[in-house]
Amino acid sequence: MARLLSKPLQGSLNLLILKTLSRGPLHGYAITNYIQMVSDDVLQVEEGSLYPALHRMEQEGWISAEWALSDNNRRVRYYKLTPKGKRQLAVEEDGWKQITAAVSKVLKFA
Amino acid sequence: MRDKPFKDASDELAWHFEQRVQQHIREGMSEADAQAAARRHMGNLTAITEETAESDVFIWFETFKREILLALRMLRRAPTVAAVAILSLGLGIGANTVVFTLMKQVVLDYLPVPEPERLVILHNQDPEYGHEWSNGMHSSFSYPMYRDLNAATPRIFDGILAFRAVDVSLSGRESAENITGGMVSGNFFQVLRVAPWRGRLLTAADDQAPGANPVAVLGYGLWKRSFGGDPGIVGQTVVVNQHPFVVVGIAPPQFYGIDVSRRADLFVPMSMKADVVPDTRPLSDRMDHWASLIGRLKPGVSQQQASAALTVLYPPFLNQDAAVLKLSPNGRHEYLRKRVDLTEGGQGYSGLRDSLSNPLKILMAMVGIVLLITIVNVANLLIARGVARQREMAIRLSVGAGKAALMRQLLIESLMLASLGGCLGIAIAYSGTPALLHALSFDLSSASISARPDWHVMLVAAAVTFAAGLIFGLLPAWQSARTDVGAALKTEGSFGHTGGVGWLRRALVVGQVALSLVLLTSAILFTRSLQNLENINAGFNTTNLLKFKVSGLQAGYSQARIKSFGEELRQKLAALPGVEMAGIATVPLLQDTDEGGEVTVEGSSGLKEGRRSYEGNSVSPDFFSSMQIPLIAGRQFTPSDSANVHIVNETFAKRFLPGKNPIGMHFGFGDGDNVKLDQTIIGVVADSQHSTIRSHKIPFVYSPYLAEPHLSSLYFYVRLRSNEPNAASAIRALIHQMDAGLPVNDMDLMTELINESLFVERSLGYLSIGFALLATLLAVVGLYGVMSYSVTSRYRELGIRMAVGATPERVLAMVLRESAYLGMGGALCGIPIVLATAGSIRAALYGVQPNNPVIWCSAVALLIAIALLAGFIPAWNAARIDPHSALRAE
Repeated sequence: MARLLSKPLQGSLNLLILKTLSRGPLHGYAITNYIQMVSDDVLQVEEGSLYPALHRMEQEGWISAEWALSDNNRRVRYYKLTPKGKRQLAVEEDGWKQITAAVSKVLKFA
Repeated sequence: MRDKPFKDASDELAWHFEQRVQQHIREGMSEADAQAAARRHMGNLTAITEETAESDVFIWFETFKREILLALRMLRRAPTVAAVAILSLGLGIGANTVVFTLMKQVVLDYLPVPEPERLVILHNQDPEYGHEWSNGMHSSFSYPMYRDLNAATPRIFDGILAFRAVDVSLSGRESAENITGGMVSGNFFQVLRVAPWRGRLLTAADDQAPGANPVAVLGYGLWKRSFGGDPGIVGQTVVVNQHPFVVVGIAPPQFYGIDVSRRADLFVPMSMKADVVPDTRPLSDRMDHWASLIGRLKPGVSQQQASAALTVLYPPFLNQDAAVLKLSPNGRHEYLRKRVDLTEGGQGYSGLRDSLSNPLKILMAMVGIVLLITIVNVANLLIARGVARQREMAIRLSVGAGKAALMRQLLIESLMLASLGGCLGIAIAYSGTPALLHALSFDLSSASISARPDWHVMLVAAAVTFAAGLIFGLLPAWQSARTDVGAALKTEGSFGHTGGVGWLRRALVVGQVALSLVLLTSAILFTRSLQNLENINAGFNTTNLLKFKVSGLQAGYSQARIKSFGEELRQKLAALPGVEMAGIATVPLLQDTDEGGEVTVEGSSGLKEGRRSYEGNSVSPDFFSSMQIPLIAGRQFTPSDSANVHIVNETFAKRFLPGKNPIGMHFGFGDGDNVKLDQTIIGVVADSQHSTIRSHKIPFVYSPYLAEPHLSSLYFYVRLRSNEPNAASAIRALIHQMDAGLPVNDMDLMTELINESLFVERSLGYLSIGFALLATLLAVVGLYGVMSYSVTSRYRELGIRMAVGATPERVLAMVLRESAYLGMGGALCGIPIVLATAGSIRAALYGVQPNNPVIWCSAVALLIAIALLAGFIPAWNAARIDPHSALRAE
């Protein structure tokens, strides 16, 4: 099956991350895994896009990050949705729905 | 060193990488395959880490820190360049800060009062009759005229204040001290809008009936210094010139009166004039001009409107003067046409500003030029380094560094240099200003001026530093951004291309030399001017002449006692072993003080108005012999001379009595038809300098001091037999023995006094030499750098020339010629600047013309000689090139 890279979906990366984190705190690797799994391997988030995006969103105040220790005593960075992030998620979801609706209409009539 | 965001991102990605490897292993790969797969999947880990770290907003700070550390490392790698740059910048910025510190306070600062821009100074136009008690301000009014003007102008001014600085002796709690006091009108503090620090300030009610309100306000500084800041002093009594005054309040800390160069420590109402300056004319005398006036314009009233209104209001008051003066119809007509001139008063009066503002502006221009030369020099150094780093830059460009990043790096390096230089400069200014002032024997203790730069000055210095860094940083940065990667990498370094950078460096050196020429010329001019002043013939013998002042009036002496004491002391002085004789004057010599007016001489009525002015002094018998002023005709004064016999100088005789024998001729003081010609000339003496060493010849009248009705201080001039180091202490002991309570002030040798009076000229002379040397040295460094670079880069060419027969002498001459051309080019560019600036320094020169071609030609010759000197070592190296090794060195 063809791999859809996250590049065309740049705009939706924030939405995917926020939605994923709305289920609970996760580290970066778990986020990619989750998105890949739930999308049946269609969406694979590249590390080169994921981490800069995470750090930007952290600066925006949508998510917060904290370091925790893993089972084998490694430093792991967990991300968590903030209240501001929850509001942002709603905004992005609405935007996404509008866009997909618009794209479907175009596909139907063209 | 790894900064924090970078390390965080790196840890985070390492964890991610490991998770992926683990997953691959769980899916059945070998460890090695799993790692390879993960690496393949994730791509360039470092790039991702970097991008992630940079997403942090705070990244800019870390980048900045990293770049500063990098810049520091680069500076450490070329310590000589860095040291030369920082040191010369430090000197340049330091010199600017020092001069600006003084300039700001003396020339730029406003009085520390609200809305100073609404204050205007009132000036009295000529002709001026009657008695002028000169304040060095040339704009004094009588007290009645002040009251008239203040009362008549409530629609123009919030109020007009009157001020007069006087020396007073203050006996406080412990001992007596001499301080500067201010006699002020009652509304002085209200007009300035100054609030009391303690107690109350003076009011109009304190300035009513003469002698009725012995109250005083202490200056904050005096209160702290002499009364320990004790608030209990308010309500107590202090003794001013033997008269008790009740302290009613303390003025606020920054307040110094209206003259920044002469801080007033005590303020008393003008109505108390008779107590503060006893035996002067009464307050009500319309012909006694002594008060300086400052008005505060009402909001919305412009200076022009006020001036127009005063023109209408003034004549009736002048008419009252004219009635007292009994002027002739003509004189009266002219007198009534006088006007009051207004000038901006927000900065108050300042004798210091008048005398120093021009020299300070000249100094400011000089240090500005020094700084410019410094900046050019550092730019030159950095360009030279840029050339040496061309390969480094080319390599960094070719591995993908952006040009913007490279330029930013170079700019940061120059700003680093600039800030280090700026810090050094401010440190130099902070510790150097007091030392410099001390070295120039400039005494600020009586002025309200601080030798330390304040934060305004610091801010300006920081801004200048930053601008300097930008200027000398942009040139090299621009140069290296133009680096042609291919060319720079191909050439092997030793034969770098000179074309592009060479012309820029040469242009900079030419500019440096041009600016040095300006400084060199001014240094020669100021030195010559100082020499002229030091060699002025004062008209009397200045060596072995000791002067001092005795203030009998302040000690409570009567007029008769002042005279008998003066004569007794004069005779006792003459009897001292080291002393030849002594004379007394009532106006001090060469201390910027003059008294005078107009005279009418018999048979000279044809002289125009303004040509009849004279200056005068009352002197003792033996005064002329003591000063060694030659007596040309007639006789000296004797103790029995009456008030109406006088001795005049040669200029007086030549102007008023040309071709006549002046002895026995008559004249009268004052101007007009009613002047009685009841004064007789009994002698003529040679001209001599009186109020200053550089004054022009003016008719002079000497009168017998023993017949003078109003004496206060006596100035003694003692002719010593030879340089007697103990004379001063012997004289002090003698006076102490005669009256222990009598203050003796300002004891000094005349030569010292003359030295002091040339303070401004000497400072300008020495400082301009210093700046010119510094500028020339920097120009030499620049020239040397350019020439040795030129020789190095033409190593092969010179080798080939020598191989085909050029002698070492010819190569030497060739290089020297190039250096001389640079010097000459700079000098040629400098001459127009010299000529253009000549006008602005003319006023500061004595006996030498600023556009004197001999002077700038010698400066040009000097610079060319210096250019040859700077080129000599590179030329010598060029002449010793071994053709064989030069040709092999490919």
